[in-house]
Amino acid sequence: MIKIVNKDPANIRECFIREGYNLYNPSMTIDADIVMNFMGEDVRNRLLLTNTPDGKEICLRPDFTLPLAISYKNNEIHDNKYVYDGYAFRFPTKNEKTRACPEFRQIGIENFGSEKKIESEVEIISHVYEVLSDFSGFDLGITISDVSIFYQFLKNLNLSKYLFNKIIRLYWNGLDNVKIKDALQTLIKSQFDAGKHEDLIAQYKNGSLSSTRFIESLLGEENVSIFSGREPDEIVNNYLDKLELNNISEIDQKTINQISEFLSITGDINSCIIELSEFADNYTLDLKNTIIELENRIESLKDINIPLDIIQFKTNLSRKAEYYTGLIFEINNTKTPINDPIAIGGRYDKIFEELGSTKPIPAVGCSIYIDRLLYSGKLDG
Amino acid sequence: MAENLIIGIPNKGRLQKDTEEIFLNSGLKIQRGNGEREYTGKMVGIQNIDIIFLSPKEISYELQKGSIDLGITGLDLIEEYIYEPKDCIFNLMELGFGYADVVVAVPSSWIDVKSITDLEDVIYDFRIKNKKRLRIATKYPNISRNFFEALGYSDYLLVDSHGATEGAPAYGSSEIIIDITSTGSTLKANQLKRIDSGTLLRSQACLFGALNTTWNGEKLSLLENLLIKLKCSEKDIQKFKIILSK
Repeated sequence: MIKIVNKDPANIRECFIREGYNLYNPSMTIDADIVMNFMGEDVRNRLLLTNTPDGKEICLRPDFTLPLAISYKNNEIHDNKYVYDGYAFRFPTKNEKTRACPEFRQIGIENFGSEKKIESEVEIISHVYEVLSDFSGFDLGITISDVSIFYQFLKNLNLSKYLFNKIIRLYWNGLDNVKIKDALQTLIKSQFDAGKHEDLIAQYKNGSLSSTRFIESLLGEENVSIFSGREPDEIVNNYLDKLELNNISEIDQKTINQISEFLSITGDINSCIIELSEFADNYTLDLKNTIIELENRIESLKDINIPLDIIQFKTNLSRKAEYYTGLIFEINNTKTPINDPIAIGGRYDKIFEELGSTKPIPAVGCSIYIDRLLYSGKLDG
Repeated sequence: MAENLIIGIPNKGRLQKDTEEIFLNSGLKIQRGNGEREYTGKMVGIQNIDIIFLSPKEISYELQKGSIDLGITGLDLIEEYIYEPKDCIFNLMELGFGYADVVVAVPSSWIDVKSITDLEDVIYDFRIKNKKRLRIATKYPNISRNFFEALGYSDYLLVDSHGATEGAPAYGSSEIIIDITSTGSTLKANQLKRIDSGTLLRSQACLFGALNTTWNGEKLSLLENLLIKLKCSEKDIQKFKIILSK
């Protein structure tokens, strides 16, 4: 058991160091292109940007995971377990009550490269939970989810690639199950209006028209030269796919209800596991492996004395960061919950791949938002 | 001495001519100091009004600061350059000229993209396939970001463009664009097309009132007379007065 003597957040860092994490302070600035490629354009307004003398755009680090992963990928650091403590920089959103300034302190831990999946995840959750509860004395609650259960569920529905991607995007946009249901209902009603081009389509299909000529004939223009990085074949095939979708109502009301029902599964962990199993049985879905994995995780947490009654499960706890691949979790003060969780973490095995690594590297970690921790502490008295 | 009512007027081009014309049609003649190079002027026969000639973009900024009381500029410029325009600027009336739509335009060759939802599919596929986000050239980054944020899309990147935006896809500096168009002929000439639900803003020249300026009784009555002559609706005048009184 870790004991924190006084209330200096630096003690949190020291605890992690004693647990075997190596202190690493990654670069303060980072290539803005990399950040934007990861987080999307809507993060730009929140970054502290500037230009290098040669005109490249850089920004102050918006978090620690990204610069740490870059250092690891570039072989600047070689250990597997890291702790960081420092300031990250993002302009606060309007809803953020815990800070008014763009800098905020984060202390967090990362585990790169461990093939022992459950073990490394449970280790991260338990270390953060223990340190946080010792430091704060709060009644902490943990909410967990697993991205892979949702993916596995969707695979069971045998949707087309188009619909699969569409639903995945709605999920990653952080929409709740009601909004996702609305969006899907709009989608099945919408029709792709392509006009009447049966002759051209027949000619394309029997090979007498190239894709470029097909596009030109359809537009009634010659020398169409701008494709903006897309292949004419790809454009025409996508066009034909959309026409197909008009004729078959591939996703029916039953499926939409099923997706919505799945995403509304939430509550204490044990009843959610039962609910998930019943859900899978009712609709004859194969979710067995992912549910077993979830159970194993919970068993391991129980083994290290994390009370199960503080763990909630939520199927659509998605974040706007598509590099998460499995576990996602949040830790909050249950007595005085604030808008945003005190700590967030999860598994992001895709992060190295997105950074251009040729081999996949497992990665799991968690960040504690010190401003939120201290703010919640003030509310707690 | 009473403070004068200061009005910012576009300093050149079509917008200036149309502005002067609309005032003239209401019996208000704008007189520029010493010819074309002078940047201040008067309204003939009306005391206590100062005219200042500025670029339409500057008019947006000066309205925000409150260094002018009224200004005529494009709605697009207010929406683009002013953070939270509702807090500092009031749109008194649409003037019926300077029409321009801010629109998303994609290559005409993208026959599979008819609407903004079709575009979302392409934006996503593009990132998955190329491991890069689709680039959108625009001189309206703020309007664009707000538009896509409301739709929940963020898989794209904005590329700054100042002039000749329609050419960006042709020379490969972006895949698609967001720009103003009125007739669409420049888009067509550059092998681009508009798409359904792809209009971000329908803009035109408007008369704006600044909220960050001191409105005393005298200035307000000058304003009211002016607005009545311009046939601004009584309802909008009252709304403006209510906002000012808060």
